[in-house]
Amino acid sequence: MGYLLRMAVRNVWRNRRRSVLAMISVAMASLLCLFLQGLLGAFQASLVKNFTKNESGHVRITTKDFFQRSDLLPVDAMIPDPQAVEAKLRTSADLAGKISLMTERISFGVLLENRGMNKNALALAGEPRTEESLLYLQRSIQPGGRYIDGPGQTIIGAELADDLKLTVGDRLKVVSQASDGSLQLKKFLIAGVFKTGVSTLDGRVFQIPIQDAKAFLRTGTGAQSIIIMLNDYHDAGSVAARIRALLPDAGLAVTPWTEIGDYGRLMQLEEKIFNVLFVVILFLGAFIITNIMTMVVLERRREIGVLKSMGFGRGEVLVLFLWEGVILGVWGSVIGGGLGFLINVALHFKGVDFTSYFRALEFPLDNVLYWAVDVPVALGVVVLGCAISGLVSVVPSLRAARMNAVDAIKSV
Amino acid sequence: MSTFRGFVAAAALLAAAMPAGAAPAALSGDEIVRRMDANTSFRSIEYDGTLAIYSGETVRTKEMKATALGTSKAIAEFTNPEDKGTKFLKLDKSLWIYFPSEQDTMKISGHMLKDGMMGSDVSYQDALESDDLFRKYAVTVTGEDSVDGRPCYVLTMNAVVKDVQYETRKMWVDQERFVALRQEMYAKSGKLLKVSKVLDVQRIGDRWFPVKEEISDQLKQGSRTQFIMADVRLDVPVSGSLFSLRNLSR
Amino acid sequence: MNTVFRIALRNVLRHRRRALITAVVMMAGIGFFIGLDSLYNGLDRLSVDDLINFRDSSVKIFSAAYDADRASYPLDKGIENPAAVRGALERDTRVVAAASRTQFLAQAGNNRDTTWVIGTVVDPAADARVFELKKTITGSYFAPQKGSDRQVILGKELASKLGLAVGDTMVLAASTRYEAQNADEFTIVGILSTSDPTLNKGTVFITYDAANDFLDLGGLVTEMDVRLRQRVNLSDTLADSASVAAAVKAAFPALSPYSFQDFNKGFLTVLKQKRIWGSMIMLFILLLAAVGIVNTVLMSVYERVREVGVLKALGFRGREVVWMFIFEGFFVGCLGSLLGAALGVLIDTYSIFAGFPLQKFGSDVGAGFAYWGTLRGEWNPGSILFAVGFGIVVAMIAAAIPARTAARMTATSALRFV
Repeated sequence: MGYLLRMAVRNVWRNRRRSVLAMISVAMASLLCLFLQGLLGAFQASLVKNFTKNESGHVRITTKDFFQRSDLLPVDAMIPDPQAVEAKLRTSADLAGKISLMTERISFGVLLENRGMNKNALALAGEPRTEESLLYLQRSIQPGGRYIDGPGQTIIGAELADDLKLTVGDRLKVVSQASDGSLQLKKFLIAGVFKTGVSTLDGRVFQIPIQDAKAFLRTGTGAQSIIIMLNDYHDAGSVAARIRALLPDAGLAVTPWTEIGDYGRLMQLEEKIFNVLFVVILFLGAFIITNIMTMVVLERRREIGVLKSMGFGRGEVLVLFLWEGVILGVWGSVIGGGLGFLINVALHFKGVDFTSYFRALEFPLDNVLYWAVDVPVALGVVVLGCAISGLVSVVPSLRAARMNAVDAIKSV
Repeated sequence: MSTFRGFVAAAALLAAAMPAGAAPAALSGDEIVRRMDANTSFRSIEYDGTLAIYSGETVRTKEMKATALGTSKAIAEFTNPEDKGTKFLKLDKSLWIYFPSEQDTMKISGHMLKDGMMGSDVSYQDALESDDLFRKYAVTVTGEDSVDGRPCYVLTMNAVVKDVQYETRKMWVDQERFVALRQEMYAKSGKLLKVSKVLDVQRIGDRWFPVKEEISDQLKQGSRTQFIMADVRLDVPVSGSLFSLRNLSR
Repeated sequence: MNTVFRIALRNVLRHRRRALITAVVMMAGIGFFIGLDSLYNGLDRLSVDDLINFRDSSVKIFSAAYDADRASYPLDKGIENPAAVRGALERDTRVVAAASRTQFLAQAGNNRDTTWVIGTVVDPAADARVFELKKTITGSYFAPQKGSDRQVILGKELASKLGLAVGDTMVLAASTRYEAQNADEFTIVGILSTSDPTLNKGTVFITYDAANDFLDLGGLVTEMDVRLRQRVNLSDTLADSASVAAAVKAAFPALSPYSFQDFNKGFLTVLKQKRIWGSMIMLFILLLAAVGIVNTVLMSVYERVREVGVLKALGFRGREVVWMFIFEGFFVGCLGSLLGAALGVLIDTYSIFAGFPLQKFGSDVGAGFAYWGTLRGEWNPGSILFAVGFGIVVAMIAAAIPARTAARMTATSALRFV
């Protein structure tokens, strides 16, 4: 057997041009398959992020009481010390490297008034700097205004501003029931007006700093929810379980995004469909590798004839071609797969920002893609590439191997 | 702050003269209403009020000092710690809330008034609705019953126009004291929506005045609101200038 | 040139096996590209169709006065002459049906708890022609009944929140048109389960027969919804919606008609983003196909360098030789691309007319989640032409590159090439 392998190696390097061409093609096919897998994953992650960033994040921590009554957005069911909870999560070894962002949020219904006109609205309170990468409302701010850069400021929706005849520089008068049941009023300076093109945001919502909300609602340090974004949204279930284990007593509800609202299930359905898409792409890649190898073998029918006339048995010829196919496949898949994997890793950490392509779209979406890195899939692609190369090198040679030597030499 | 008060205040105009010689026991609806009105109508009133909002097992309590002139002007200042200094001003059909911390007012208007005040079962509209009720209902005596051991006339009131809150109301009026001890508010379909009970009646001068009332929403279990008036002073001299936006910030 | 052309053609026919191998890989690559491109666009169509069939229809019409105040669900300022509007709509060939609806704010309860909901009053017969809610109902749709019956259909999440099932009574409390409080008991005839959480959680449906009595409605219609003819491509669907809305506005200036895109701006923005990313994916798939094409063409050209030597020895100039190979690339490219287009169109035809039912995907995603829909494709002649052109061009370039190297060799070195 050893001699067949050595022959195979020599054959491969003897026909350098053909071999290099085959190897590069296999490499490119493997690379593109992996690259596409990373892109599909990036795409999916972005969709999940955009669907969850406004309400729940990938994992949401609230009190159990709040979770029951979440429809009413109660302000008297706060997590008493969210900073302590966050600190605990940050220092936990279990969660190291999984969490990319943690922040507090309060959302509550209010009554607004200007010049005798009333309007019901929804206040979104968060840490302004952090919300630049979550709510993204700063992207939709109309010229003439700016984002929040200090306490006591707000950005309001364009339709809201219209309905109440307010503009940048005016004061927004807000009344709400605080956590102790008292009525409170606060005025915010309108720093900017945002226009997303969506009525539910533009007509109903305004953003304020969470410190102001806490003071206004008399919650002390309490917040309604802690929003957690993860590096990999697939971890949501397991991270939620781990957090629950870390915070056993406090009457908190830790919920992954898949269990909040109905969109989780829709996303999962989309993911399944994307997996099917990837399998189809793999088939295409496999088919292309098949084609490459078939070409290689068919060109060498005459060689098979020569070998047989030199006394090689059918089995030996087949094994020889198998080895050559495997060598080409291994080199191609490993190099292509390896490169593809490295590209995915690089784009995973760096991300590609498509914001400039989407400038025309006013809706506050996250437009940075982070390629997905999946080691088992990468290994699978490499193994698949090698296996197919080997397999496909054998099958067409079967026919040639069965021919008698003279006919084989005569074939073109 | 009860719905019947405004109703009876204006019902005084309805009081047709009783035909001479009418048997004292067979009082007509209008006469009963006239006597109720004699008890509860006032030129002015001052009191310390307590609003207790029950929702299942939790209760929120608001305390206030209130002053009203007739039925169209009222002002109340909250004295419970969380709301201390917050004031409500009612002028005819408009409502303002004053917040001492910001020294600013918010006006509540339009359909906002239908919301329950501070989560209670009394809507702003219930509290403000007053004078025209008599015009909207036809009153008949439909029987006698007893409430808490006190014999009462049962009055049934049916709406005669479309734009009333409740299509039908039933009132149990204390035969001796002419105070409505119980009221039931019905929807058009006949479904009972709210029940109002008077839990305490005080003798002030020569009237009987209800000072403790409880309203409960029949569609939500465990949801009721109590209103208690203490230190009630009727027809004291009250200055009209008290009821102004300017006065709120003093 | 003519000679070279004919020689190239004969060469292709002579080396049939090689041509076929190249053509096959092109067919696979281009065919799958076209099919996937069509299905990818079809994916989004599922969500759009859900919105159209269950919640928003293709065109939503309010009176302009109502539209200004829509957020508070007033029971006045309705559409003045709904019959006239409906008549005008149904005369439009693009319109299949139109139905009146009225929205109101209410509280739904079970005599213990209440929760705010949006009530929708429907005319069952007309509504069933415009919306497909019937399909998603457990229990039954509204049964035709005379008089002021009290039937209600509500969403699954709402029903489970109130602990109610088909056959139970639900209390509905609302303000009538004249602002009187009314509350009544309604019998639950059906529970609906759609892919729209707002429908499942916060909406109840009652009939006009019931509402005219319960809300003193007097036949008030606050909106009209329209079903348009089915179109294969999303862009056509949206175009129809926009033009019908415009036609309504022109005929009835006091109305505020909304096209689907006006009513669902945020959703369509996300869709746009998905399509842009989708094009990226498709481009890379095409690149993958190109790898296969380039490889096979290169290999076959390199095998024939000795032929080049023969040709040059016979007197052909280098340029003519290169053109011969380019023409061969062209022929094989045409064959492969057209086969690919045929395969692609076949896949498209199947996916457009038969489609891929998604019920089996939905069944194991979450408990009790009913996912409706058939994944269908869309016609994208632009993609088809692009792919075909791409294939031919790549084949020609792939042939040209080694041909130029070979053509530059001297005849003798070419003859000795291995």
